[in-house]
Amino acid sequence: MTAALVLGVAAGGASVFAAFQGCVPADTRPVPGSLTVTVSPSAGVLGGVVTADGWAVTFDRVLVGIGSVRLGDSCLTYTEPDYDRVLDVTTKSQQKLSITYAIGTCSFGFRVMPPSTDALLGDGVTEDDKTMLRTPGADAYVARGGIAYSLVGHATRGDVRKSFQLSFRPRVRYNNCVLTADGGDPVDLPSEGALVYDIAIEAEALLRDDVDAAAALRFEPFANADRDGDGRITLDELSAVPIATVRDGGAFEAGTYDVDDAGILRQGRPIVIETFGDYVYEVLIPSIPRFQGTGTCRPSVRGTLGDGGSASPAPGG
Amino acid sequence: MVESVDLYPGGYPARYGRFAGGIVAAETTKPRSDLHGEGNIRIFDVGALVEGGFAGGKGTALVAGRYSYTAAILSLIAKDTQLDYRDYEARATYDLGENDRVSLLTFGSYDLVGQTQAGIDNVLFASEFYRLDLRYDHRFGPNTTARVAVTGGFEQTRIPNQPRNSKDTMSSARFELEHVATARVRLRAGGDVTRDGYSSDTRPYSDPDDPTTKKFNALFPPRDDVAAGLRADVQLDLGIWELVPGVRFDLFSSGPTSKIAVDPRIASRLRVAKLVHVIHTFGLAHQPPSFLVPVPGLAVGNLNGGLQQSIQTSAGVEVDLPEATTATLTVFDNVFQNMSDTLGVSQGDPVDSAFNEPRSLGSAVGMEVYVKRKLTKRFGGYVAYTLSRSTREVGREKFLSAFDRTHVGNVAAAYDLGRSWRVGARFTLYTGTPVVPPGGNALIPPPRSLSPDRDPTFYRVDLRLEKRWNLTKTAWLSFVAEVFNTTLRKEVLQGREIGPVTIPSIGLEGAF
Repeated sequence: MTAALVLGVAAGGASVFAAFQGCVPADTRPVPGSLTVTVSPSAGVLGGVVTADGWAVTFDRVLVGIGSVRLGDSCLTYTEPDYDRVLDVTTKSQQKLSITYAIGTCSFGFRVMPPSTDALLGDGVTEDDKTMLRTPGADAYVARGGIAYSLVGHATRGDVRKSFQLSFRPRVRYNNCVLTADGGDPVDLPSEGALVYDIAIEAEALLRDDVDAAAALRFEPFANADRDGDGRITLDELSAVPIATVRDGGAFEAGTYDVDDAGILRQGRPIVIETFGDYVYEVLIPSIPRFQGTGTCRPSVRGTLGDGGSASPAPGG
Repeated sequence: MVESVDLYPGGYPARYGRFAGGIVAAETTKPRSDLHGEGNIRIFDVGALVEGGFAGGKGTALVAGRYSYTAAILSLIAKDTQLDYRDYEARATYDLGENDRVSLLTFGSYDLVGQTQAGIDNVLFASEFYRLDLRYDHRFGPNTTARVAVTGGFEQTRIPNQPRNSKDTMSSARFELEHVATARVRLRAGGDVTRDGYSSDTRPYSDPDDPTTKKFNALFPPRDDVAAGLRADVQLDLGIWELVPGVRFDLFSSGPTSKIAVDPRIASRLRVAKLVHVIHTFGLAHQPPSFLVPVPGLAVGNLNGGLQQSIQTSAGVEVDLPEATTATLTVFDNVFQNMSDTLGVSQGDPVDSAFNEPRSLGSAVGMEVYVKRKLTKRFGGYVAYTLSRSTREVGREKFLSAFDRTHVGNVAAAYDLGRSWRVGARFTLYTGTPVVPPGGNALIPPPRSLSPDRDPTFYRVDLRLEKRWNLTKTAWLSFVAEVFNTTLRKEVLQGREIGPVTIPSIGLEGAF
């Protein structure tokens, strides 16, 4: 017994020195694949658009808080870049959002929201821009929050010129992105594989007369909303326009919309579309990002008044 | 193997330092050369200790360990999950002569949580630490003892979500002296030098722009930290007054930065009546910046942000009551300066702010009541109650610490039913911590309050029943049944209901 005890103590001591390499196992995982996500401007953001009602619309600045790329649980994610950036998509054709390392086949999602403390700045974006976006404020839809989109631009038709500087504060998580309408999980990463996906920021989505990406663009309702005639269109002015007075409200005529999970429009609390501002803020803004050319995602909107998390129209994003 | 555990909330003896908060000090049992042991086996784990002598009683050797097979069982049930846990202790002593003894003490622990996904083993969290301490004790005479010792250690953690290993290879040397100058004066002194070599693996497969990676690298740079200290105190027995003044000096060095700390301490125990003592303590304590919670191999490298400092004061009354009962009432007032208390001042998800290091000014004031009766009596137990308030200040904002609980109470009792049956119960109650308002990540976070909403009060009742059989004069075996949280109470933390965490257990304990 005594000899065993002595040996035990000796073994314990020796184990300390042996343990200097440690017992925590080495990382034996195979080399993962990489998914690089970029953000680019739509053609309309870069070159402007001419609407069906004859307005030439130019986007001077499009600031967006975007990031937090996430893969579905069926992938083994090595590192998840849970950070975000503030990008001005008018400055460069394509900017990096993040790189995720993983193996497997799974879903893809990302988030548009007011930037976080650690948000990185894209080309042409300053700390002042970030501070502006992060400064809490309120509008008719968000009781308190920063800004997710800041859209600055102007429109001309003949010798009439209108400008707009619109800020939107929703927090939107885009889940279950698919490359085609009947497509499956978009991420299929083998070991050492490499994927690049792009998210286009289609700021012209707020000019659509329907949630369909192919819907006609029009600016006349915006121009008509400038009731004070100062040439600058504000969100308050849009919210003062009854939706029924807009020539074509698309699928969203005045009313309350509450559609089940399988529906296109939304989940969660009903949205009330009474004004043109409601239509732009609640319906069109979540459709600004477009996944990989013609892909779609299911947006889940948070941060609007009274919501407990909801999904808004999915067609664009 | 642990003889006693002392909790020093503040004003602790000069031998304890480099921590600005409370100190828990454990003393090991004295070596025994007679062969003896103890063990227990329960639903969740098994543990054993054996100690004996050799070389005609000149030497002793002890080995002990505990193994939890909860992990093994769960791993069998959930095949995609790997859990592992073990720890050990061992000690050997040898008397070189009447006045000289060498001792070797080692202990360590290992924990792992892993998951197999898509056929790939993925370690989610793993942690290990080991220590080896070699001591030489010499007695210069009946009144003077000395100890020199060297310690080596290694610890490592696989950091979740990074994932990479952070390591610390430590080495230390120390000396201790104790001299009884007169029947009323005892001198204690010591000094040590400790080097910690911290390193982290490069984060594999990471986005180079990820701010989390950059913050981790900035907060935990590879480096050598050195701490050197000298301390001394005097135990003065002045009849009705026992006084222990002391001081310790510490030099902290981390990379190119060095800081010096001087920590005076004093403790006083004055007999004001036959069975009544008045106790006062005062002390300063310094600590390098610390992480959210102690994690093996991971220490904040931001010494240039300054040391944390606490000013600790307490005053109390101790009364010896009849029937082997003692009661103490203590009031305390501690001030914490330059705290790196990330969790205590967190405004959002603590995980999101884990690699931030906000500094704050803190305060903890309160009162403790403790009444105990020896468990060796037929009816024994204790009542403990703490009334406290812990605040933090960051800039101009003053608010309650995220851990502030106004009331914390414990009542434990054990009763000998006779015929070697013994029953025990413990009642625990604490009021809720402040609920952190959402929006902490905003540019202008919502203000925190000195009277915030709180989570609900939680209480718990634990029960224990023991039947003992005496096998010989020194050997016994007992059956033990225990239930932790008998009433299936659920706890609410930050508005989220957890549990009930109820753990029943039966087992056998024995000793010889």
